[in-house]
Amino acid sequence: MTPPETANRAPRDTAAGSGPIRLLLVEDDDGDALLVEELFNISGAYMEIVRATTLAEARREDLTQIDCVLLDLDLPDAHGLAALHQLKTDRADIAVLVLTGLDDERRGMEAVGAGAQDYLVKGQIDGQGLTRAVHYAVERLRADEARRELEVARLHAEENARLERGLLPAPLVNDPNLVLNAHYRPGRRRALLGGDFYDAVQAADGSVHAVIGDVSGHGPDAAALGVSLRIAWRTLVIGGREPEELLPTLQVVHGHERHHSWMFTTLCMATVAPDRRSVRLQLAGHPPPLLITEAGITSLEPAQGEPPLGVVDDFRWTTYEHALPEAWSLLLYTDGLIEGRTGMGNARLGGDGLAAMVRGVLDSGPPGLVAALVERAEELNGGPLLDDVAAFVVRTQ
Amino acid sequence: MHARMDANPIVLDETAGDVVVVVVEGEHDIYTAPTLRERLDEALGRGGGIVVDLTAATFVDSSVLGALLDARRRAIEAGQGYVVCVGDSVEPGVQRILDITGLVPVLPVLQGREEAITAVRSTNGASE
Repeated sequence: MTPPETANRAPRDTAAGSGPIRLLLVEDDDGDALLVEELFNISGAYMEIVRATTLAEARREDLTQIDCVLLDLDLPDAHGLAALHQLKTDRADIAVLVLTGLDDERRGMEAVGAGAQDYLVKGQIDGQGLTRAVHYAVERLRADEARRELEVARLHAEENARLERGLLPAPLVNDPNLVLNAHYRPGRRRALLGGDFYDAVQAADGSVHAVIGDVSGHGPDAAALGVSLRIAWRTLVIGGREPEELLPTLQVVHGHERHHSWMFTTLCMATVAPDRRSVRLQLAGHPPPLLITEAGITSLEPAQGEPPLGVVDDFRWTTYEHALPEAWSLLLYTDGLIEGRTGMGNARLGGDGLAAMVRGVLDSGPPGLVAALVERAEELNGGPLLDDVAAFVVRTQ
Repeated sequence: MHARMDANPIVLDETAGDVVVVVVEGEHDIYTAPTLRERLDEALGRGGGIVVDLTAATFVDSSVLGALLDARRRAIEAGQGYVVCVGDSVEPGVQRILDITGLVPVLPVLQGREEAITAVRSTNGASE
């Protein structure tokens, strides 16, 4: 009968000085109980004492409202450490001080080993010592709890950073005439890393392959799938597989690596020819990239949208080829960038809004186009975007 | 939160009898997708055909599509008919993502609730 986790996580807020410490005294011997109460009285401690004479009675108390338990180890219904174990099972983070007899110090030490904060030997302790022991137990438990929470937060941040590195690598492109800029910003739910990823690889024949993808959902499962897909994609490209074969193979990997059958991934893949004058595109349910040239800004729309990875088995994605002028930029992005609001009613940025925004940012000519775009989108949205945003520009220089 | 839920409701319409219509209105994203999943679970639990009506939806994101795809998969596994429908004019915020993701033939998405209900009736109970 473990109480719900929430009850465990919400101990009373009794920061020093904000109220009396609520003490549960579990002691069947009335004389000993009276002695303890007297000791507190003498020391003038600000203590509220709840008395229980058996373990069963103690367990009927709402332990979340108790700051510290003073526990006698010889109760009518529990002998030795059994009562301690039971109370710790009921509420793992409760402070327990064990009361032992003079000839029983060894059992006190065992109790500390089993999770008690300390043990007190009856007849050897005075009021001040008792009060100090209670305060100390309560405060130390609170400090332990704070330290544990800090550690969890630190591990979480490290884990996110690790996954982020796996999702967002250093591109493997060494053409001095091409510039690659990528930008990633986690969504408003900072703690939940998304599954956005990108990569770029220059193949042996000089063609440059770029990919951007978005795994549905958030959290470690989405991020882990994103990392798997990115590595698989990179491996296939380095291995010299034809671009047309990549998505069907990636879809097979996707099916094996996803933890939930409902996960799917949208993805845009671009292959720039060795002469840099044409690009081949494949879109698996992903927003089409923007082509930015002197002639203007064009969204490279497919004739028909095709499904994300993980939805239609054995699908063969269409390749669309576009000619490129001498100077161009190609902006690949995830939908988080265009789903933000624009400050005008319920309107969202959308692909057209993004094109207009690119125009504005180009006119002002900042060097970091992608970072500027994401910042502008956030400005328009009136705060951080809901979803993760990844944007990736490949351009000639 | 309450105002938002009122503005973007997801309700079950069971007046068609053997087909449950999940009516999705307003804007839906990762915040409301869990509610949509619950409603879809409820609809699947009825055991009959399911129509998801997006006529009055003004915006849906990929997490909504995820919920729709997941329900579709489970409907197929259980031999329940499943169709999504839109109205005569579709909001850009809904049309665009359906176009980009190529899901119109997959889900499938039909025009008009009555057409969708008829289509679901003809497939409901048909084993895969």
